[in-house]
Amino acid sequence: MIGLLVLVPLLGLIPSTWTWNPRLFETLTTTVSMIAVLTLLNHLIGYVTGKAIAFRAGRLIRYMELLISLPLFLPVLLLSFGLYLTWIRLGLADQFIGVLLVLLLPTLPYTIRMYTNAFQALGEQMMEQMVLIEPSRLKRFLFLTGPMMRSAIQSVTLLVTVIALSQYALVTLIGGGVVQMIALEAFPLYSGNSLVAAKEATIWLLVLPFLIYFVQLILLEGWVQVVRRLLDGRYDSARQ
Amino acid sequence: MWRGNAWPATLLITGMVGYGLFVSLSMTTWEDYSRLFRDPVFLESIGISLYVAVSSTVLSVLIGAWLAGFFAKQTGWTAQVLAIPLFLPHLGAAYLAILYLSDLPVISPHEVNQFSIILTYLYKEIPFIFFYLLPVYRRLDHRYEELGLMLGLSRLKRFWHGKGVFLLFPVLEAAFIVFAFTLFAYEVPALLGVTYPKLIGVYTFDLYTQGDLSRQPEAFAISVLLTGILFLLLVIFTRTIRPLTERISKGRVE
Repeated sequence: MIGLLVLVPLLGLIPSTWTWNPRLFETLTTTVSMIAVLTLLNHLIGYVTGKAIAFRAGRLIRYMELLISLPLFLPVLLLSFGLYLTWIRLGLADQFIGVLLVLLLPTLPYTIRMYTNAFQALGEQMMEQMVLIEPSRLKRFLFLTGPMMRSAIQSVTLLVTVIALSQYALVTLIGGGVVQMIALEAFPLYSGNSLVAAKEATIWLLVLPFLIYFVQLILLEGWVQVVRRLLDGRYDSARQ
Repeated sequence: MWRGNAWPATLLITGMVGYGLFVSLSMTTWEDYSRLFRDPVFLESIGISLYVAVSSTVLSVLIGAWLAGFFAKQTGWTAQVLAIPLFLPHLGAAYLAILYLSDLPVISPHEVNQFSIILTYLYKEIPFIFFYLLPVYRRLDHRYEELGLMLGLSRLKRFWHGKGVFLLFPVLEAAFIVFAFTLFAYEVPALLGVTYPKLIGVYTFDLYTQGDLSRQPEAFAISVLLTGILFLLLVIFTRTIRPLTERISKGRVE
């Protein structure tokens, strides 16, 4: 029943005629590169921060946790009015990097939360064990922590992609129409008259997250396979 | 150093939030704030936004929490279907509302009752609440309730000590996130809402981006005012609810 309620609305998106809107397609380079850089930054910062929140104790880290989650509870769009003026002064307005920084606000708190939960589920004892087994940080991440964090990595990428794709107001404001993400083309189509053009835009909006998700799935699967092959018996003292 | 470092994220986020607020504050005078409280358009916009945000939040939390409680006990792929709306950006969900609800009475877009906006939010936020609370429900230890049964506690007390204390904070936190989002969102109400009264996110964004620069201080004042109110709410929320539940969860070995 619930499955039907969720799925049936999506059936209307199946295209009856094949259309190709070059304007939507042109935004893809910016959209995809923005999402790629944004996701990478989210993973980098989120991983380190989530670990700290999960494994450090004390008053300071609790306050930091609260400060980090502020954008979840505050109106980010309204705060960006003030940021825009600052970005103009710093020369970041209408720039790729300016939009990138502002997009961190609605995405990073979620990322950190997910990594925190993942590290908490992993547990402090397990982390200590891994530190003992593999002292090199890079190797530890590649062989142990990374593959164990797989589901968190997947959800983070998905969420960051979906949130970033949806931001019309924020990107319009900070990007000044120069930074062309797909929402900027899709939004006017929705308020226009052509349902066909709007449908095409929606298909892009739905296909992009799926595509990115599956590309990542393949990459992670490959990573785990390589790790399995490399580790085969190497740390298993019983085998020798 | 394997315990991570929270400084970069804290500085980055606090810096941007704090500076955004500071600039907004410096662009306004007392006059702007007192004018806001006398502005019927603003007050009406706040009223309609609260109506949309409260009803979407309450409905999605109730349904999402119920679903999480239901699916926590069973394993299988059925729950995964609920993940599909997570792949669809809010913009796309708004299009679905335009596509299906346009020809219907009462719930079609651009109706004053805003039902289409609420329905769009439900489609997106119920799965969000569901996946937010599912791990919390799965981690619940049924032995607490059994202990309550053994000690002869009343039904209500059993629920509170066995489940309530562990659920209260996550549920309210998820509700707060959805509330803040639905209160200030721009994209969905801009596409599905009526031209008057506009929801607060749309109203403020239009004030700010209109060619008429004289209304910009008003937009900054709204930004400061609403950020302040929400921050105050957040402080009250963490101050009162956290201590209530923290005492118990601290004594718990994970």
